[in-house]
Amino acid sequence: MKRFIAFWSIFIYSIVGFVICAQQDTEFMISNSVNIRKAPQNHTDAQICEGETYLWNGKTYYDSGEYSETITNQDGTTVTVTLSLSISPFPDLTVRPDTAVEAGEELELWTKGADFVSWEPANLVTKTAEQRFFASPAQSTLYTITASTKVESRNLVYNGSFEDGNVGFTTDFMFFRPYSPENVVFWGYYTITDKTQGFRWPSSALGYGGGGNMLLADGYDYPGATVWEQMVNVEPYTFYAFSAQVMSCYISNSHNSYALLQFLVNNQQIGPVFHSPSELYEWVQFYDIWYSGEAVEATLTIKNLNEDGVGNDFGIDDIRFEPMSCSISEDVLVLVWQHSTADTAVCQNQLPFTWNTKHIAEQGVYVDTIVSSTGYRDSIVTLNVTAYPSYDGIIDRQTITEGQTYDWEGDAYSVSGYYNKKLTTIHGCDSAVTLRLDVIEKTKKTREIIADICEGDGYDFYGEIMTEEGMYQKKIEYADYDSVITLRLFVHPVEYDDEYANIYEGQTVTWNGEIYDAPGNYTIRQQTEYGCDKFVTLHITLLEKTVRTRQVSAVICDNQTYTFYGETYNSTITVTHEEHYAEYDSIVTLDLTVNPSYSDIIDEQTIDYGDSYTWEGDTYSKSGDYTKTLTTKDGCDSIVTLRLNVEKTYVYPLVENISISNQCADNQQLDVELLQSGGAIERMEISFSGRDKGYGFAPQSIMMPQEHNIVTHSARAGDYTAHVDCYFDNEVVYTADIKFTLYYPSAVLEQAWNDVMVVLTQEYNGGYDFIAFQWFEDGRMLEGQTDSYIYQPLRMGAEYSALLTEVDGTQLMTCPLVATEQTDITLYPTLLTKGQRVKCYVREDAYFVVYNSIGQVIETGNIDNGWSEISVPQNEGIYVIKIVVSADKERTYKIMVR
Amino acid sequence: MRKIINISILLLILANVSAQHFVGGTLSGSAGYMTDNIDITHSRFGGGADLGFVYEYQRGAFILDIGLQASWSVVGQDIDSMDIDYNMVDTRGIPFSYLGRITERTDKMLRTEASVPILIGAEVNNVYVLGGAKVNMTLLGLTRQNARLYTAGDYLGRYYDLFENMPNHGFYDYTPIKSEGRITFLPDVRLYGEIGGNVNTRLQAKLRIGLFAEYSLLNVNKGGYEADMVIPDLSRYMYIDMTNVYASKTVGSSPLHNLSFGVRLTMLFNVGGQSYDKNSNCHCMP
Repeated sequence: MKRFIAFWSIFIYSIVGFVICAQQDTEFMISNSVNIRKAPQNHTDAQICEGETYLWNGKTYYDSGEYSETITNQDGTTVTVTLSLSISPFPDLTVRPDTAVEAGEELELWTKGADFVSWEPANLVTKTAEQRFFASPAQSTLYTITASTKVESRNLVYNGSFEDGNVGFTTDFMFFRPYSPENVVFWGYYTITDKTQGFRWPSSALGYGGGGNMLLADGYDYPGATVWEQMVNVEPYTFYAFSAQVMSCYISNSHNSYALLQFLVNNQQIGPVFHSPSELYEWVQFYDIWYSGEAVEATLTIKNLNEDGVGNDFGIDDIRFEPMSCSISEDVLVLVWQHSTADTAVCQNQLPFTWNTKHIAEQGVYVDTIVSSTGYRDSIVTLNVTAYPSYDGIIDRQTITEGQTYDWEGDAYSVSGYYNKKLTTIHGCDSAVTLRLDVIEKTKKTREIIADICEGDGYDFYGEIMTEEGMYQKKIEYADYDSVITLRLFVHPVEYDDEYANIYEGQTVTWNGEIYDAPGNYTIRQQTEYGCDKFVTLHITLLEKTVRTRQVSAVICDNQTYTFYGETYNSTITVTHEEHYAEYDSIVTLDLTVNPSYSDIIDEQTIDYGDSYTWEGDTYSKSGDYTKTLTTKDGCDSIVTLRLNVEKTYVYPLVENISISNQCADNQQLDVELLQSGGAIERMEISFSGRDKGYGFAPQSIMMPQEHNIVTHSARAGDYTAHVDCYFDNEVVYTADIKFTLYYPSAVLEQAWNDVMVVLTQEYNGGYDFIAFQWFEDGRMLEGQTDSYIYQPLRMGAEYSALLTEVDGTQLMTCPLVATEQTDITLYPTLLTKGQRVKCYVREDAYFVVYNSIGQVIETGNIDNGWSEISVPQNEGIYVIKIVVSADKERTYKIMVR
Repeated sequence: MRKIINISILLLILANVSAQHFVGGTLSGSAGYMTDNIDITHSRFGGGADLGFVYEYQRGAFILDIGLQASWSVVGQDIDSMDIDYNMVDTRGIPFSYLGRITERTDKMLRTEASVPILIGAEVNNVYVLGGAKVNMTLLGLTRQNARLYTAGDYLGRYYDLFENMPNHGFYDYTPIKSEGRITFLPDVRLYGEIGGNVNTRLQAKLRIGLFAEYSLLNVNKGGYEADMVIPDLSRYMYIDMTNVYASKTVGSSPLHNLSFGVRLTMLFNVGGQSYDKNSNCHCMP
């Protein structure tokens, strides 16, 4: 489109240029004016669009600028002509892209980048709003947008500012030169006047241009009177801006005395009717755009539509008719979808087929877009394809038996084979079907019946009654097969049976739910396992009753009882018990003998205090009743009682001293030494308090003189105080607080070898945490031995002890540990590989035993003193080797062979 | 190697009547050590000596030596202190931790080697230079490890203090200990260089004295050892045995190279060709 415009622009400019040039030597006339003004002959204004060239006087110009040429006329004279060439740009137009809408849908035809646009075809534009165009086309339409942008350039109107006076235009008004400033003009007159001369309006009325001439007119009652008109040459397809300054200079408030000016181009009104300003002397601009289309001339007209002669005075100045920028056109295609739907039905064997651009291979809905009568691909057609089945090669497989017929599609078949028929479905489609008929031979089936009947009965064997035992056969023919039935018939006879029963008098027999109480023969009818009659007879015999007797003898003591058939007897007696049964009568006789027993025989004795009395093997020294149960010669109890009285003629004891010996903490009892005179105390009550109570001592009572020890329970080593109360005749006769010490047990020490004695740690010594050590040998302090162990040859039999200090400052001796000869046995290694031997060292001759993991003896042998080797099993595993020096000197090692 | 032999044969073929042939013996004394990249070892210089037979071909200034040598060398490594901790059971059947420390350890090796030197060089004005390769193979490697041993018995909380300094119970107080063993090395090719001069003697023989240096081009570490450097000796009660560091798994794949240098005496007797003029340095006209 731009190329099209550019081409025509060049063409039109060429024509215009020619015309201008042609007019340069001519005068142009204003129809009603006598004023003639020669157009300049030596100057040309020209305008081209971007990218175009301008041909002037045989030369081509590309750029804007002022150009001059000297031309020699035919008469030999020369003239200098000038050219003002300007380049008008194209607007930077952007239009909406091509689009597609549904019919009736409104869309906006927007543009950007241009001041003025027009849409063609305009009749398909529904409404416009400030360069926004809306359309709702019924069918696809190609819209052409022509756009232009205002360019400040040249005014095509000659003398639009009236500076040349009353020339260059035509008018229906009469020209009048005013003689008084009071009367601007008369109705229907106009004048060209200097805005600064002879008028009464204030300086503000100078208004537009600040000075110079203007056209001043007074409207009158001539309808549609032309105020101003001028014809100008225009370029086709170009926008022009038509504008003028208008002022009201006399307004009558009693009339509608505002000028109503109509602006026309080629007799077509542009813009609305212009209302002259309501304020006096205020200049307001009329401005509107005209599109030239194909026109090359434009007659510009200003008419006054107000016919009121009162007021209605107005001024016009600076009439301009200016071209806009180069026009550019763009097309916007609006596709309006046209929908249509069609249905079609085909047989399956007609598929596939081609519809428009679609390949139809199966039933379904297909949509395609095709070119409509508008020439655009805007027709959306929908085809509903229904495919009815057609059948080809469908086989109906049937099987009949020899001798049968099969009816198929009106024909009967009895021979094996394939039979073809071509049919038509209800939708008219082909249906080629095949019958495959298989005729098979009859089969023979056999069946055997085993039947049991009773003697005298008959068996219905397919209509024939059989009464004799035996085997029968029948053949029955069916459509599909023949059946051979074999009957094995068994005839069972009537059976008889007898049963027997004995009863005593008064007894009954229950047989088959019936009660019988009298002798006789009773017969009932039953059925055998085959349902035949079976007669059973019960034979009942009456027997006579017998008498059974038994004698029972019993002996008891008089403090015992005897129970005989629920009765209890405790004296010598003979009783009889009878029982009567159906079969016999029982008579039992009891002879009971009762022997005497003795009790409460009291032997009362009196002795002196301190003496004792021996009675029935026991010795008694205290007053009291002592009972013993003896046995008489008849084995009955004889309970006798000794009442012993002790005369209290005792001596009151005098306790002189009580002491408790110091002991080792691991001793379970403490010796209490009592020094007394006079009598003897009976017991001591010993109690502990405070820390001592919690250190393993519990209150206890010591019975004297049998006991004399305090029992301890895991007491810790330390200093303790025991409170002792001595009793005599249940009275406290002596009280004392006795202090004693428990030493560390010897178990806190350990003899490692024959030359090492060591103190065990808290974990191994019972919970004592020591921080300082001093060793003793037989109570003699060993100078300098203050480590936790001593390493020196130990003297066998000597007592080794240590003075140990605990963390809390407690310092006590240990009980001594006697050094004993340690069996110095060394055996290594304990982890061996196969074939390796262990080495052993003993100081004396010894022997060894090797055990396996389940205790079996594997090997034994002797070991000489000194070093020797012991062979161990070659198999992997854990073994135990015991080295025995003597009965009390042996050591066991666990070794592993791998 | 094959290439060197071929070149040597070619040189012999090229010999003409003007060439001289010498045989003789060599005797050397050297100092050297083995290099490794083990963290805990510090190589210490050792000494060595070799005795060999040599054949020399000389034509003009050019000399070619081929020989066979037997050498003995002692090298060693100082080992950093090592701690040990073994769980054991004493003769009483009581378990304890056998703690210890090995200090002042030195691992020494006495190697008997055989080598074939193939050397070329020049002799000008009684000054000679020899260089080449020396194929070396260790025939016998004996090791001796010396150290001081401290051990103690930690009775796992049973006793307050460690049992120390009870040698009859296996607790030693930095007692000198030693272990011996054997070791093998891979064959080696050594880069050998020697420079020296002829010494005037009254003998009709050529006596040379020179300084030499040689270095292993190949890694002689045989590798694949599984023994620890320190092993509780199961054949002796509570004793520690030591394996040479280069024969233990500590050596791993560490490259081992020999470096030695020393003084060599060579006595050569002319056995063919132009007679040897021990005063040949007079440059007299024939």
